[in-house]
Amino acid sequence: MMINECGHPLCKNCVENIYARNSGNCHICNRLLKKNGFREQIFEDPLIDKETHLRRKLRKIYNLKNDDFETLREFHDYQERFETIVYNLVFETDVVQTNAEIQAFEDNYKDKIERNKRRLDEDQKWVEDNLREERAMKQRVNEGQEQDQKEKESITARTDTKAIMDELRDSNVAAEEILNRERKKQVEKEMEEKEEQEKRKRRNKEIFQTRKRQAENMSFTSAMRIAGRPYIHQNLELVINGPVVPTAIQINKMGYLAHMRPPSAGRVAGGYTATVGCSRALLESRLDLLVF
Amino acid sequence: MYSTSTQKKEWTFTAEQIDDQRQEVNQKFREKYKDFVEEGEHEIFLTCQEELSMQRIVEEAALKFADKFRPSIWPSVKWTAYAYFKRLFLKWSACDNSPKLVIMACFYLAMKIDEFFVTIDEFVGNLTTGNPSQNAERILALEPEIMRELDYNLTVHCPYRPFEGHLMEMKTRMLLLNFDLESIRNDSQRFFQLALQTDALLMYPPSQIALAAVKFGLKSQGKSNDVLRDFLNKLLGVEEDAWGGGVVPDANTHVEKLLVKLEMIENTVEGGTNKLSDDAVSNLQNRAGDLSNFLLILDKRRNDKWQAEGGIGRPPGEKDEQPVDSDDE
Repeated sequence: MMINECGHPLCKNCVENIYARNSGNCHICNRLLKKNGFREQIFEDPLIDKETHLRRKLRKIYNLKNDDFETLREFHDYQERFETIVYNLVFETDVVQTNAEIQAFEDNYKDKIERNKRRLDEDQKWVEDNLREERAMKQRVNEGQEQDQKEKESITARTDTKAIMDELRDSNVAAEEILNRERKKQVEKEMEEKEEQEKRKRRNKEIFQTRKRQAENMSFTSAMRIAGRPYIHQNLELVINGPVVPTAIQINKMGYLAHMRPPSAGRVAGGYTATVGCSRALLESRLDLLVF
Repeated sequence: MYSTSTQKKEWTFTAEQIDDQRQEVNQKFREKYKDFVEEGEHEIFLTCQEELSMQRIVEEAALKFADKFRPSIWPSVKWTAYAYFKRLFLKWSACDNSPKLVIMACFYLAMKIDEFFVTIDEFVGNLTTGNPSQNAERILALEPEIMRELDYNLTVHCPYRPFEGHLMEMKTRMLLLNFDLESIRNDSQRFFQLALQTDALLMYPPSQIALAAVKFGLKSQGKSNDVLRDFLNKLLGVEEDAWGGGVVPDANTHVEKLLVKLEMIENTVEGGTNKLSDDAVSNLQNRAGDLSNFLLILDKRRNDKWQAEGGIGRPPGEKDEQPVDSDDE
C-alpha cells in the first residue's frame, strides 16, 4: 500500500491510475496531493505510519539539544511543544496555525538548526559508540579467524609443493604438463578467494544498511505485534478418584434438592442456589473416596 | 479440593509413620538434656506413650470447652483446631510446650481460618483458668509460632460436608428404605466426636471418614450392613442406573476394598479412644509435675556448667529468636 501526507492508504495500481498526471485529489478527503508525495506504507495502522513520517520530517527542524537551552525546564517545555505540534498535525487540528509556528521556529533558530544537523546528542553518541565497539570486536574476531586460515593454508601449500616435487620425480608424465595443471589450479583458487571476499563485503554492507534503516524507522509509539501460537483453552482435568459427580441438570432432575434446605431469599439474591451447595457436598463426598 | 491439598500431600500419614514421628520427637527432647542427666534419672522423662496420653487428656477436656463455647462454634472449627493440634505434636514434644495452651491457640487460629469471628477478649472470656490478659498474651504469642510450624498449611478439609453429601446421595438413591436416614445423624456426630480424639484425621481422606461415620450411624441404629453395601453398589456403579453412568469395571473390587477401608477407620476410631482411668490420669499428672521440677534442676545444672566454663557465648537453652510476623503486634 502507498500513503501520502493525508494518511489515507491507496494501492500502488490505483496511485498509478489516479495520479497519472502527477497530481490529483485524495479519494477520501479530497485533498490535493502530488504523486511523488506517495511513499510505501510501513506500519499497518495508517495513523502510526503518518505519525512516524511526520516525526521524521519534523526532527530535521526540531533538532535542538539539551545544551541549547539554559535550563532543563525550557528544554522540557520545548519537547512538550514538539509533541503538541506532532499531535496537531497527525489529527489535523489548527494545521495552518501549527505550520506557521513551525515556520517561525525555523526562522528563529536557523543557526542552531543548521549547526545541530551535524551534531549528535548523548543518546545517539552512545548508540554510535556501541555500534563502533561491536564492529571492532567483530573485526578482531574475523582477524583471528583469518590468521588461523592463513596458517592452515601455508601448511597445505607446503605439503602441496612437496606433493608436486614427488610427482615430478616419480611419475612419467611430462614435467610441463604437471606444472601447467598446478598453475591452473592456483589461478582458480585465487579467483575463488577474490569472489568470496567481495561477497563478504557486500553482505556486510547490506547488514549495515538494514540496520540503519531499522534505526530510522524505529518508533516507540507503534503497537508491538507478538507472533506465536494462538491460545487454545483446555479445561483443567479434575481428578476425583471416586464416582462421577452428577451434573447440575442431574441434580435438579434426580431429586437431590428435596433433601436440601431451601436457601434464604438473601442468599438467592447473592447468587447462591441449592444446586450449588448440593453439588459441592456431592463433590466433596466423592473426592479421593477410592484411595486405598 | 482435598486431592490437590497440602493436607493430602504433607499431612497424611500411615499409622507407622505417625508412631515413628512421635518416637523421634520424644528422643529429640531427651537428647537436649543428655549431658546433664545422671544415672537412674532417665526414668523421670515421659515415655512416648505418656506424652500421647497427655495429649489425649487435653483433647478430651478441649471437647468440653468447645461444646461450652459461646457463641457456639460450628463443628468444622473444632475439626480444624484438632487437626492443627495433632500436626503440631508430630513436631513438638508435649514436655516442651504445654498442650493445654497449644490447643487453645489452635482453636483461636482455627476460628480465624474458618471465618468464625471472635475477638481475643471474647475468646479468653470462655477460658476458666488463668487471668484473661495473660491468657490472651500467651495465645497471641503462640499463634504465629503455630503457623510457622504448620508451614502455613492452614486449610483443613473436614468430613462434615462430605457427610452431608453421602447422606443426600443415600436419600436420593435409596428410596425403598423403611426408616428415616436422619435417625443416624446423632450417632454419626458422636463418631466424629470420637474421631477427634484419635489419629484418624491424620490418616484418611475426609470423604472416607464421612462414609465411616455413616456406617457407624447405621450400625448404632441396629441396621444391617447390607444397607451400606447396597448403597455402595449403587454409588460406585456395579449396575447401570438412572443417572446414565454405565457399569464401571472393577466396581465390585472397589466396593470390597472400600468396605475394608471403612472397617479400618472404624477400628482406628474405636480403638484409639480407650479412656484412661482416674488413677492413671492423676498418676500421669504427678509424673508431669515431677518432670517439670526435674527440668528446672537440669536447667540449673546446665547453667552451672556454662558458668564453670567461663560463661562464653550465649546462655544455654536460649532459643534462637527468629521474629515471626504477627498482625497482632
